[in-house]
Amino acid sequence: MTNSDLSPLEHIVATQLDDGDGVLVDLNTRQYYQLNETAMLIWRALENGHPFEQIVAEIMRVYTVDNDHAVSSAARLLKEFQSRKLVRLAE
Amino acid sequence: MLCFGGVDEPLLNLAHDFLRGYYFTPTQLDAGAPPAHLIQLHKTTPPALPVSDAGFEIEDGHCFTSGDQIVLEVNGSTIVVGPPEFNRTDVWLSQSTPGRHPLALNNVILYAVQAALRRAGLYQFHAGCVLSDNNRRAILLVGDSGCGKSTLTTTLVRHGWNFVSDDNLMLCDSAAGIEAWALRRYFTFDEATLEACDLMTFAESIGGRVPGKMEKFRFYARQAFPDRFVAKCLPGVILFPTLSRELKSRIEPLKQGDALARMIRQCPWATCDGAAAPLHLHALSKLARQTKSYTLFASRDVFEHPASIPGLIAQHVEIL
Repeated sequence: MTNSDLSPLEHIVATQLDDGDGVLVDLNTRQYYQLNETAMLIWRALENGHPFEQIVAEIMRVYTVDNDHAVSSAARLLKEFQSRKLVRLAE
Repeated sequence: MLCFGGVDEPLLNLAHDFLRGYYFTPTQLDAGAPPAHLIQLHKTTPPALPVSDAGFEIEDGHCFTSGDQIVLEVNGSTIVVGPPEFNRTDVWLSQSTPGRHPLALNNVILYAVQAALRRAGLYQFHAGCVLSDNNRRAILLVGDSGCGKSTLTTTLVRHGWNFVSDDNLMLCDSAAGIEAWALRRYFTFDEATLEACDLMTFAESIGGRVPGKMEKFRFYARQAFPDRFVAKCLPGVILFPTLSRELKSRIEPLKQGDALARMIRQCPWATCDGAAAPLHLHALSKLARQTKSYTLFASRDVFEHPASIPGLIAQHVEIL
């Protein structure tokens, strides 16, 4: 997956904690999701409109992992956000 | 300032009786000064309201959303919490006999007041709150009904701690941090817990049964322990008590994310009242960040030997 044109939906409220973890709340479904540090890093990147390549680079920089690992992590988490209907394709 | 509008004498008395149980101060509205939030009572039939979802169940009723407003059907009455910029909640009181019962109307007033407070940035929170003389920050005790909040709060108070509440307070996002404010004037206990906490000796502080929860009695802790009441404080620790079958009680640290998730579960309106939810969630998140959180696995030992609780807390909990 290299589609980076995703952006958070307006009814999702995100909050980040001191250890980097976070929580997302979907105000439409009233569901909430606990995010680990990596997932929260990707969510913040989406909020900032970063493209997929930039998200991958950020994961590599923060966690000192190779490109394949970072691509795999980013793709998996973005797919998860999509499947939970937390993001939409950006215009 | 909350203001009730459209009340006649019997309703005014009912509202006064209800609010007397809480730390609200009756006041006259200054001419020309608008209230922070108006709760307008109506005795007519409510208008037809377009609702945009199937809603969800709440205690004694149902909640729907309708654009920026939320609609609550409670005990046959209809509550419409307006968009935030209107600072207004309208309540169409039930015309049916069961819906006009004082208990049913109290419940309706409670929902309306809580909604109005949320719009004013004050979030009701089910938690005990205690503060030791040795610490600047307080401990919140958060958990489901029956997890031991009132028992633990009272035990600590009996061992010299100060208290804000046993179960019912408000969170306020202030410049200093998230503050816990006293909300309800009395604790609630069933008879067995009154005995277990050795409170029967404070006979003059035991009030009547709690309306709607007839197994519970009101206990006026401020009357029993007059020097121990604190109107508000900054929490530094959250303890989540849970009953345990283990032989010995223990306390384990909890990650901030887990603590926040547990708090969200305790505060359904943080995800349900769309207009207030972002700030409500922000307040809970800020509370999670300003505190250290722990799970208290409470076994029989702490209930059989309540005197061990302060020591257990001192041993495992880091309080500022």
